[in-house]
Amino acid sequence: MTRILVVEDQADIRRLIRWSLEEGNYEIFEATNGRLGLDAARALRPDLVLLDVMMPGELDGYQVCTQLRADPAHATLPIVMLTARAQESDRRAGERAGANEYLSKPFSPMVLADTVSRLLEARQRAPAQSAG
Amino acid sequence: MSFRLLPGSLVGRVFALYTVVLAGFVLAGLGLFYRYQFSVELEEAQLRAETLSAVVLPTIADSAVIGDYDTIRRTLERAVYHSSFSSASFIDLRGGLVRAPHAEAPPANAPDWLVRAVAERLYDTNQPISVGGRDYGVLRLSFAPERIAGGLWAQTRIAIVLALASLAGGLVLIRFPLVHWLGNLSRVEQFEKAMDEGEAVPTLLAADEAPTEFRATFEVLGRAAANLRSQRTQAAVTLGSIADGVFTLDQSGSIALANVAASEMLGRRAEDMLGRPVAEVLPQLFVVGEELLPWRNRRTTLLAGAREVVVETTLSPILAPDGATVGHVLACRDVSEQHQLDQRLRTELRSREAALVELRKVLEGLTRDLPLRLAGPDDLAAISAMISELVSRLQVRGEQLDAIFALSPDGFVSFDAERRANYVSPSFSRLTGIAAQAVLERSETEVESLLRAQSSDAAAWRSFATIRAEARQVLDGTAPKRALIELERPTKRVLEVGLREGTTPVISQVLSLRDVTHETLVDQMKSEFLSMAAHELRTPMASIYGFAELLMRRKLSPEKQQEVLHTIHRQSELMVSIVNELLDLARIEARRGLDLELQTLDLGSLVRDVIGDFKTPEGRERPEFTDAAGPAVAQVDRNKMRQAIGNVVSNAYKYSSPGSPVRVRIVGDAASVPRVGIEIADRGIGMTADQLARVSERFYRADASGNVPGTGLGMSIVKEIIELLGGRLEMRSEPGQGTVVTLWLPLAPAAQTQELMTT
Repeated sequence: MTRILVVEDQADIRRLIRWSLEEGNYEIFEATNGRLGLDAARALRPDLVLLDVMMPGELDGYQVCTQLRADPAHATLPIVMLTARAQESDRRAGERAGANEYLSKPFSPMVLADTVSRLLEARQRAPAQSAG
Repeated sequence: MSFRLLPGSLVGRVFALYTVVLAGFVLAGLGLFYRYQFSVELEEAQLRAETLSAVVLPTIADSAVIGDYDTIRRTLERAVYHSSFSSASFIDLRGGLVRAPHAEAPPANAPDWLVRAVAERLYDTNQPISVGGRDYGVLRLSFAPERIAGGLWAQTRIAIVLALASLAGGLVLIRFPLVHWLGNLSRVEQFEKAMDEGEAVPTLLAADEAPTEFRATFEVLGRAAANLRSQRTQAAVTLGSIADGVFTLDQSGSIALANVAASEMLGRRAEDMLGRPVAEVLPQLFVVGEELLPWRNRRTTLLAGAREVVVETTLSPILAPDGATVGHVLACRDVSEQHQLDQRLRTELRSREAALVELRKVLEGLTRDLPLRLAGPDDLAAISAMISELVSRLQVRGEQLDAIFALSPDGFVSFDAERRANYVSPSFSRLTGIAAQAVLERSETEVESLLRAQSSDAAAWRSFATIRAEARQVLDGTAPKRALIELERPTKRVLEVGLREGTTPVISQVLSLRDVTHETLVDQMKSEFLSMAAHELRTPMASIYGFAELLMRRKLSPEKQQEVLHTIHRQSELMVSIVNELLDLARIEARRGLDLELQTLDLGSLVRDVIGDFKTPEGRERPEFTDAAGPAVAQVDRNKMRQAIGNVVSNAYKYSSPGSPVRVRIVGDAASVPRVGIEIADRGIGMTADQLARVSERFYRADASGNVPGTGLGMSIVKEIIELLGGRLEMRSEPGQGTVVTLWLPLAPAAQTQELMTT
């Protein structure tokens, strides 16, 4: 089953994400700050990560993303960043950190679901191509 | 007449005498030689004829005997071979003649008298030929006197030539030593000439090789000449070294002498002036044809080329011993410089006078507002009075300016025309930490690098040149772009740099530094606050937007629908409270306490009111309240104070679990400034030191999970209110132990307390 890790400090938003992705056949894991998210990603080896940028604690979303990408195991892991910061400079910071997509809050649950399924399909195709 | 015949010079006379004597000797010698040669020659000719006759006689005699006339002829022909014979002949008794002539041209054509003299002295030799007593005939030898004379003459001519040559040689030989020895005498003439030309050389008369008779004379002459020469030299040096021009005039009024100064004064060479009438050379002083009369100290302007020379002249007569005037001396002193100085002084005095008048007018204009007119006995006194008044005003103005600069929070550095710092205000040193001594006299570039050394980010440095260029570009009235520099030392500061170019020669530009650290910080905080606020509003918005979309697009179970609606409602409520609190905060900040309605209130009763109105969360105990023993009175704004207390109490409930109490009490502190506090304590989750430090930051949430509703602005508002009321917010917390918040306020004066209690 496809595993999705949600790293988000706000309970309401976590619930919103979970419900937005309900129609897909995903196994959803939640982490409430960057440190926990990083640990969970290493332990669970998810197929996709949804990452909030502004979180309390030592690590923010950019740092989590950068550290994930530093690990070769997660080099191709699809990462979608979610943030209330909507400026172009923030988007660029996300791209530098290695995110695949950047969604600004408030976001549409439908768009989120589409983005997630699109990234997962692309991920499934990629190894298939390399195998074939 | 005879005197005239003799040459004039001594050399000539001696030479003439010598010539005559030598010529006499040569002539005598020549005569003797001629006489001797003549007689010897004739004797020899006679002897030769006799010898020849004797030699040929036997042959002739033998031939005559046998009648062999051919042999006689041949013999005769051989016999007359010598040139002194003209013919040899044999005359037999019958008168027959055998003749052998000898024709030969004489060596020279001797004069007739010589030929005659020779012919007279010679006679033909006739030798009779007799053999055995019988005569056969006569042998005759005839002489050729013209040939003999010719030979003699040739010799004599050679002798005459030799005699003449030796005479000439002798004359030439004697000429050189004669001229050499006696010629010394003519040096006296050269010497005199040289003396006249002033170039006499005493060695000219050093006559070591001169004859003894002249030597003494020459030495006397030489000494006299040396004496004269040194006197002349002295006179020339004296004249030459005199700065005054001196002309010596002869009796006719022509210039006989002009010294160096005189020729320099006129710009003419002394040689050009010598011998010319003085009236021609100095027409400004003399009139042609006028008698020269002495004068003293006459000032005249002379033209020396294009230059004008002002001279003071004195004309003095030279008197002979008999009192007659033999010439004049004209002395000219160059007083041009003195004259110019006089002129200049006069001009300067006039212009100074004019300037003084002008100055007085200006000063009167400047000091017009003086109550009493400052006027001295003369211009100078009035002027000095006015100047001292102005100076004292300037001093006052200077002190005012100094005080202004010293008190101004902005720093200034002014630069002189060479762009070197000539003034540094105290605030400059205070702002930049650079001592005034380090800046003064430094160039703009050096000042800039000093400032730059204090800066944190050298790369972002905006050079003075750039700032100046930008200030120039916006001279059309628009405000120049703010040039900011950030200093790391002495403390972190942001300074606004201005560089204005001056218009006076003393100050080329003024550098001004304004401390805008606070403004910059406020600006920065404002924009941070805005982006924080936007972010905080986006967070509930994200929930509302997302859940609303879910509700629209998805089919949710009724339970889920209910939950979604609750969430939307809750988040909308949060948004409203965020907006409200933002507005509160904005109002408090904008008013800065101006809208405070201060009342003297007893804090105990105020807290009791707040607790009475407080909506205790469901399932929680009401706050426990402990009042103070006595009155706790402070000057506060009732509504603001209620808001502050309410926020803190609400937080105490939010961060503590059901069952744990929230306690409120009034506390006092009898410190140097007596104060009174409201203490709100909970036994909740508490905070770490790090969280505690940030708790009154806007939007800071100790719990960021979203489980505890809140805006993150509550404690900011509390802090603002308490500080506006002159109090202080104090917090103590331990994680897991709970938090104690005390709102300290200054205690109202006793009189007010008394008043409050009685009413």
